Formats: sequence, structure tokens, C-alpha cells
Amino acid sequence: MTVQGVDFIPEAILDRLEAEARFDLILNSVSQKNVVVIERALEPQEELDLISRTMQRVDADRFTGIKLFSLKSRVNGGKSLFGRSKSLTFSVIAPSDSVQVRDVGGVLSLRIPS
Amino acid sequence: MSSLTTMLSRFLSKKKHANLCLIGEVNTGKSTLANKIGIDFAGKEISPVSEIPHETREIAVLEKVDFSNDGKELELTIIDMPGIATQVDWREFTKYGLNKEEAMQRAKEATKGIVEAIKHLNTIDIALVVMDSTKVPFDQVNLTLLGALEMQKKPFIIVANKIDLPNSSPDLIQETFPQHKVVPISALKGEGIDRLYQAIAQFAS
Repeated sequence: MTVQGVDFIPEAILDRLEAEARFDLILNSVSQKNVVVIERALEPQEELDLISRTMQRVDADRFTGIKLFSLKSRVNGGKSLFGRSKSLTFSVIAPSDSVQVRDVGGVLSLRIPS
Repeated sequence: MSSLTTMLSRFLSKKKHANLCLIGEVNTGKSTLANKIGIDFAGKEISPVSEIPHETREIAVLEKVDFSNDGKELELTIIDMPGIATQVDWREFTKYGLNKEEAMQRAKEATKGIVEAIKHLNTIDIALVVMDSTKVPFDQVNLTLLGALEMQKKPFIIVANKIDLPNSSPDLIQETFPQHKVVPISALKGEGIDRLYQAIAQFAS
């Protein structure tokens, strides 16, 4: 269950897709054991839709879901991992069974077990 | 009761009606809290509880709950939502003694429950976002839910549950979400529940 690679998806590519195609792009990559980094933070409703579509894809042995992190302060005044500047926001979606994720003193730490 | 009769009943009632939805991550004690409110104001439990994750896999509803606190009254429909998660692995359930077939069935039902819960978030009038105060609150599911509620301008109360446990840290939840009302409680022991009822009662006016 090792991660195969990392896909960086530019905001421009994501935003020209319809919602369904957008989620397919993300989940097709993650289900093939890639970590996806998106050039902008997903909106809360997009995250809910992504979780919903993830659940529809969960398969007993092949795909158990995602780990999802959107790095910006979307709850006003709440803690932020990487500052509060909108220009620094991004989302990370990883296969849940292939990475361990920890918040170490404000640093998002993705670990790939050997 | 038919929906028409329900609507007529609400129209004639002087009490404000609200859908009180309990939402949050898995195993934060939503059903324990829903049962506590149900027993206190309607003499009924709503959902079974269990230490096994995803015990609530279907939305559970208790209608016509006559809530009152300090002279303020509401007619509540209590909606206990399945816990939201980004992953469901049937192997986790085998750690609680379920066999493979039972675990896989539970996982299948859990994924459907999450989809249903997300679909029904728009029915919320008041949300109780239940968090486990023994865990670090900075989880994406919490942030996603709070963000979605804010975007939809839905009122909510953050409930820091399980304060009866020795490693609980409700202060951390308040520090993480300083701009929101956080009510520390133990749904199991009833500790702090009056403060929560006072907070819910604010929505009566």
C-alpha cells in the first residue's frame, strides 16, 4: 500500500472542470495511491462533496478512503497551520491507508510507512 | 403523523420549532447526548450507543420534543446524524470482536450513513457540533463542518464532550475555536448539561 507519487493540480485546471470531473480527477489519482496537492484550499462544501463521493467509492480491500487537509484558516480566528494569507492556501488529499499524518507544532507532517 | 398534520400542528403551536441536529466526527458521543436530551425532555432514547465506531449508521429522529429552560420553550425535532469520517476500513471493526462478514457489512452501512448525513446537513436549524475533548480538535472533519455551517449561516454550538474522562481538555477546543461558543459537558454523566440547555434556549427568542 505504498504511495506511488505526488500529483500537483493547478487551480486553473481544477476550476475549469465541472464538479463531477473535478472529484473524479482527485479520487482517480488518490485511489491509485498518489498524494494530490491542489493549488488552492477546497471550500467546505467542496470538501463535504468530496467526502461524500469518497464514501461512494470505498471498496473493502482496494480503497478505504482519504486523508484530507485544507491548509488555511477557514474558521475565522481559528488556528492556521500555514499562516492566514489566502495566497498560501492549498489542499492535500492522500490515500488513507498509505500515509500517516501528524500536526507537529503547526507543521503538517505526512509520513509514508515503509 | 402526516407531514400536513405536522405542519398544521406547528403552525398552531406557539412554540418555535427547530431541527436540532447532532453532528461531528465518529465516536464523539453524539448518540449519548441525543439520548440524554431525549430522555430529559421526551422520556425517550433516540439511538443505541456502543464503543464500536459507526454505531449510528442511519439518521435517527425524535419529533415533538418539548424543550424548556428558564422559561424559554422550543419544539424540537432531534436529529442524531451518523458520524462523519473520510475513511472507513472494515478491518478496524474486527478489533472490536466483529467477524469479517459483520465488519464488512458495518463498513458498507457506515459509508452510506456518511453520505446520508452530508446530504441532510441542509435540514439543520440549530447544530450541536459534538467533539471529543480527549482528542486534538484540529481535525479536518471538524473544520469542514464548521466551515460549511458558517457558509450556510446556520447557528451552532460546539459541544466539548467526555469531560468526565481524565485526559479531557475542553480548554483546547475553546482555544482552537475562540470565536465560537464551546460548552464542555459529559453527556454520559450529565455534567455541564444545564449550560448546554441554556445555550440551546437562546434560540427560542
